[in-house]
Amino acid sequence: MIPFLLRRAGHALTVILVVCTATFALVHLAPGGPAVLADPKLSMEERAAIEARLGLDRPLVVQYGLWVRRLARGDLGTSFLYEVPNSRAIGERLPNTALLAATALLLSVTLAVPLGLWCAARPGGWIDRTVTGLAFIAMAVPTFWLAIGAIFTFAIAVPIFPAGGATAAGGAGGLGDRLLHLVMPAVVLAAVTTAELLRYMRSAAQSAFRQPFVRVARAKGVADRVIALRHVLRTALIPVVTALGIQLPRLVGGAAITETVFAWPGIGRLGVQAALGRDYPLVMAITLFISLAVVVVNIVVDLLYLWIDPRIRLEA
Amino acid sequence: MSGSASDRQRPPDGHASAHRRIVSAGIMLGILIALAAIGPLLYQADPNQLDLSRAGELPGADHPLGTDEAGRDVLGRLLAGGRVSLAVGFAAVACSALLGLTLGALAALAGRRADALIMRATDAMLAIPALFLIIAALAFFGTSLAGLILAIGGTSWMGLSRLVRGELLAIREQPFVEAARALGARPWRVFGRHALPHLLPSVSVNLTFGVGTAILMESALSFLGLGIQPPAASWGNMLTNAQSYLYSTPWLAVYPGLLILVTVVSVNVLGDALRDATEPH
Repeated sequence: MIPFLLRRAGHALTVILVVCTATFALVHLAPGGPAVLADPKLSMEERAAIEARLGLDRPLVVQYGLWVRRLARGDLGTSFLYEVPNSRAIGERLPNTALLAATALLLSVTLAVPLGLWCAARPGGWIDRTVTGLAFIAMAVPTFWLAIGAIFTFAIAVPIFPAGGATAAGGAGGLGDRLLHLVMPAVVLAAVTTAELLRYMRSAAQSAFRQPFVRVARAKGVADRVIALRHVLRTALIPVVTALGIQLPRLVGGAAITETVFAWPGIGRLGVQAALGRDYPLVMAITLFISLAVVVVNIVVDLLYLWIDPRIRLEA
Repeated sequence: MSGSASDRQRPPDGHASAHRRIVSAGIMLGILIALAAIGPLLYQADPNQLDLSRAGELPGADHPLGTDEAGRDVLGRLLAGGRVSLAVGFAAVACSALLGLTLGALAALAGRRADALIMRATDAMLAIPALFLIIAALAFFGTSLAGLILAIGGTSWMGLSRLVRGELLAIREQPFVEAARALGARPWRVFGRHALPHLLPSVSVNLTFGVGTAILMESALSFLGLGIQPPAASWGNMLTNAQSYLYSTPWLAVYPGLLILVTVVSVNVLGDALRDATEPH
């Protein structure tokens, strides 16, 4: 197990290095130099001043070296737009994104796992057809359109939920108010993830139902409910856990759109605003931070794997 | 849960129904493509013509689908926006197909070092949320139509390269490849003449789904203000404007979203049916 972990850690480190280099290269090798200088309103002197202040007048290799050295010390740079350390800008909004993403993920898993199992147990039935049909549509609906529709329906036509923000003005209103603000963004964000997880769960459970051990259990007279809940569920969860790891970057990307429409003060919205404001140090910092989070989560998923599936433990 | 559930196989008419679905999704897509391609030639209202005195009108004689918040013709903008969405969708997938096939083939055939390098790069690209990856790429390519195509295509080849690599590694062990090699065929000839045809079914399924993803991505970027820049119309940026006028003209948010939905559902139905038709189960 130790060599397995070491291999995974080395693997993760390479991935992080490539991510660092790729983000740096994309931003700094852009034709016409870093986009912060592309503003035509700037005079030559102002350009030179900005270049000197940000160190953009140095050779690229030197800039890259300095950037990596600062990264290694945990310094993510400073935002042009907000003029605060990027780590602080991210840190302030991280709890909001974490709350939104965790709620959406929880919602997705609690819906997708039982529904997927049910659909696999009775393929072709009306529940299966309705659910898979809905999942098909959920995967094709643009998230922002769903969000706009939700705002129109539940904040304008029938005003049940607030149209945006994470709390009422001034943060007054307490826990109930926070939950009320959370409902629409979380449901909208969960839609796509639920659909994708459901499809994974359904097909994993369907192939689990075909396994010989299910036939044996059935031959021994084990009740259908026990077969589904004890034998099939456990087997089917393994690929679903992998799917969770794959879904995470998508969830964060979806969160950027959901947060923007609902004016939810999270990292995703910050990233979109940074991109619109050509605040590339912040864009790079957010991209790096999220990628790092994804890499770490994927290692955790691998560990979960070891715990769920004894066959892998034996191999490693 | 019924006892026979697990033993129930795919319905016997599985392939026939897949072919029916391919035809109906193909017709739907054909209509959408035709609308975008020749629609603006037949219906010649200027999609960017402002007329603030006639803003937010309901469908009427001169404006069959009404006007938007700046008095522009909605039907004209939908047709123009369709060109953008479909062009970006298909062109971006062409781009990612080229990259995915080349990199996947190199990883499988060009030795261990190339393999390790390409697969680590693939992992790294997969670890970055697609939206942020594209935002960073847009800094490089710019937000023109070509920039969007390159940014989306250049950041969505990873699934394909993994697929191609995996399939090639499996095909390499097949007897017919050994036979071709024994007859003295060069590696790239083996690849082109013998392995590539075997990749076609799975690759075409992957690419079909890719078109849907690319269209959704373009509309999301345009919606966020990072894609097609106004006044040019795109289904995504039409929704950005519509969101600001939800109180007064909520119907403006319906058409573009519905068109994206119908397009992506058709593409996904096509992909699903292609998979059912090509995968021997």
